[in-house]
Amino acid sequence: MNTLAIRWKSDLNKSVLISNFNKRGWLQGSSEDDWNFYWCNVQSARNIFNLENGCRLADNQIVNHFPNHYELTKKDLMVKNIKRYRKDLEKEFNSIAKRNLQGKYMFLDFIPTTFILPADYNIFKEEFRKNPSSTWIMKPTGKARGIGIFLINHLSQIKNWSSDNRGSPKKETYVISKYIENPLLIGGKKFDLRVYVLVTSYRPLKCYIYQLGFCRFCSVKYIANELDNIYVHLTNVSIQKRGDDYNDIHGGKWTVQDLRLHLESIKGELIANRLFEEINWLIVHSLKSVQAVMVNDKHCFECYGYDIIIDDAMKPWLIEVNASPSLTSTTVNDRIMKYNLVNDTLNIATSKNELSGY
Amino acid sequence: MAANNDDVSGQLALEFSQTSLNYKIQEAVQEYLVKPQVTSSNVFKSLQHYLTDLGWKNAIGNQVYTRLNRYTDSSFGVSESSTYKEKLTYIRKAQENWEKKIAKSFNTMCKQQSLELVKKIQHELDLCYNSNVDRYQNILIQRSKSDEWQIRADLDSLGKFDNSSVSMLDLNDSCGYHMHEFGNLQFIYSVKDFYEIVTSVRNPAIEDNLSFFNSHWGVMNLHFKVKELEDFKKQFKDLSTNVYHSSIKDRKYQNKTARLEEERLKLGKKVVEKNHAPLSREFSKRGCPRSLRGQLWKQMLGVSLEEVDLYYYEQLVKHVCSYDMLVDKLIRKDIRLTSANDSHYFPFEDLFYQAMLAFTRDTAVLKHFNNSSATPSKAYHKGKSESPENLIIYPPNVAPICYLFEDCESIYFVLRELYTRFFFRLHTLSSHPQGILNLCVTFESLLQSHYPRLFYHLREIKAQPLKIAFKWMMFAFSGYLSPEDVLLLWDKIIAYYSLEVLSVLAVAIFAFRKDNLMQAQTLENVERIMADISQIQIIPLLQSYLFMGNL
Repeated sequence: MNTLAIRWKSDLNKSVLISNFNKRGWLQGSSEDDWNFYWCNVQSARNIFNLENGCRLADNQIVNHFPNHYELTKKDLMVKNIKRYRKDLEKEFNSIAKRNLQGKYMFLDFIPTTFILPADYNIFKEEFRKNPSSTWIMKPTGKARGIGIFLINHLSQIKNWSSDNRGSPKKETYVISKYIENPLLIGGKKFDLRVYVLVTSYRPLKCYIYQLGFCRFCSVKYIANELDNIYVHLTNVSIQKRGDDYNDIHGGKWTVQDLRLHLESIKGELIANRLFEEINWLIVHSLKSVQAVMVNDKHCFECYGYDIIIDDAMKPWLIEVNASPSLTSTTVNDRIMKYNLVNDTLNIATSKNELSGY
Repeated sequence: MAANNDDVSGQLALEFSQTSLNYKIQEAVQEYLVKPQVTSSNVFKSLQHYLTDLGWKNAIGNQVYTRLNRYTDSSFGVSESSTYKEKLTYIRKAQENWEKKIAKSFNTMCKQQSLELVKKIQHELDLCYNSNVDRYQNILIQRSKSDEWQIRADLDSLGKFDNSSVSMLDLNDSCGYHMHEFGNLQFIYSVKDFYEIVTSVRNPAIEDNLSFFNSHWGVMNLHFKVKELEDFKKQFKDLSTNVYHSSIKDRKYQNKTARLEEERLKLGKKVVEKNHAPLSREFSKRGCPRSLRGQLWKQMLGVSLEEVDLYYYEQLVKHVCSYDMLVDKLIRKDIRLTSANDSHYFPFEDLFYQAMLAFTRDTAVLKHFNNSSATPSKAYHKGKSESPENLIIYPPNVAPICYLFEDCESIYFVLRELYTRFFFRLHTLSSHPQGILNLCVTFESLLQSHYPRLFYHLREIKAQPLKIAFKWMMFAFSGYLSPEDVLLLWDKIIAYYSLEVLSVLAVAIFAFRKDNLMQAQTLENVERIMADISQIQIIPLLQSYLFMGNL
């Protein structure tokens, strides 16, 4: 056996990963600790970086998560960090934190108004009373793939929720965000954008935005007031898959190139270009908001999945950031795209420090 | 035909008198004439100035121009008589037989499925229709739901997307080499059927054993005089490589092309502002910039979407809601099997479905049969005289239009113009220079004269090139190329007012893949090589085929 080959380890048994490892001639590590490259899930990442564990990564080891990635990828922490980032900039009188006449940030207003429940309940109540007819979306902070999400438009619904929540043994923190009620619709359907962002270092900040993102469509026509029908509102593939109208040939996924062609055709090049530029800035600002708190371990890189919704005024909104974007391929095109994503990620991530075998 | 000149202008005047523009101008003239500064001595001249200043002259010009295109591109008269439509008897006969075959297929299906061609929908009639588009959409949704329910009750069609059991066209059958059986699915006809009809048309005056005519290696049995490569070079001189062409995305030269594209966009905006159809066509020959394509297409096709057009569309939607036609189910099926399954077009499924349903109710579509060799199949709803004619026509595969517009109305009218000006020629038999027969002959003759080794090789391994290229041309490459390239290709079709570019592109693709094709030993190999052409960028390909000579 070639002892100089790079050893890989993976918590995910995904073909797009393994075929990429094999293509490079890497070998699967023979034991638990025998690895140079570890594509792990967030639980393992927590164990690796656990201080009590006391294990230090060797020079020739890299991992696909930063130790405290949750500063960005946990819903409540992301909101906290972005709010703090804005305030800090405002204190410095930085012109990026300028506000317009309505008192809104001109450049940093890229997340929907969000509160953390139960902690911010009183502030939320005040905000809600200002616009009593508005719709809000409740999400558990630590869960992904659309689990536990529901929409509300009455305060009483929160009260019901909190009494239920108190009854259950596991007390969960939720975030409540202003629901984007006027999303841009294509063919009458709602969609969101999945953009992949690779970060290899936070200080200095080095990030790469992947060009081949995609749109995820709801399978059912958008009707704003149908709060109970999740197929209308939630674009998560894991939810849409359960719907009757789910189509497994394209999986409701549309490439960003097709979106761009359509938007340039109907809205004009200027507006489309501005939209994509704003998306890029939104990503940069969100990363800068955690730049100071992130443990900049040189053994780490991370490939984030950004979820972005575009409203009908062509303004992009950051919904959330995923630490482990799904590598499951739902369709043929999806497989090709994800294979290329992993390939490019590995090319960039492994070039930063000399990765070699023992 | 010179004798037809008077006919044409008379016809145009008649058509023009029925347009909304005519009324508007009349109104404007009346308003102008009562003004005090108008005297009897200067009335004619000042009126002319007045109309020009208000842009009416341009508008009239556009109207006449877009209508004129229909008549002047060939020797095909505007006469109603069938001999004028198609002069060659044997082609006329072939088309008649083909139509009979389709009609028969329809009728058998109706019997088998115990459905009627046209049926009034009782429970929807009480709904009143306001000018609210959303309501229409809701009605449409309701209707399609009740439809699905009805079909489900009628038939036990199963399978994932099979909520109706019939289809107009078997698209999954790529030239018929692997027929799929979808439960009790039926198709009116497949690409293979039409391919067989097209290749079997022959001139009875020419005997098979004449060796002179047997120099053809292809499968077409016709001996039309077709254009040569040199003719196409002249025709498409705007594709020459020393001319900047919109939407060529070359990363290497991005900075250089960005400035050229910017200039072109500037020029394009001026052109769009002028709203002058011939100018728009001239501009579009070098490709439409993405953000102007929708407007340019509308100008070139004479789609202006005035109030009366919107009202017209509204009426069509009303008809859709009140009459149930068998063809609806076919269309639903087709869209389900094609656009709805296509990762490029699925978001537009509902928009497209609505536009297609309206299309089947539109009696204006019938007009194009005046200069086509085909005759429409009509079905009347029994007992009701106001019933719309049921057009049993092949649904055009025009989902790419949905990329350009948000509103159903624009999609619909552009679709209708594209179909009645161009795409109907791709599935009717005629000797028209842009008909499918001519396109096929052109394809074979270009390929044979410029790539004889390739053609001979393919013929030897029993992989006739037309077998592969036929479906591309029949669908104007829609569904085979990437959406952007389909739109770029259709820019050419509209701007040059010609479908001939389809043959040229098909040859260019064969030329582009010729090294691989020469290695192929079986028909399956060839099919595999040509199965995916979605990565091909057609503009650079056409340029190098026509002008670089390096293919």
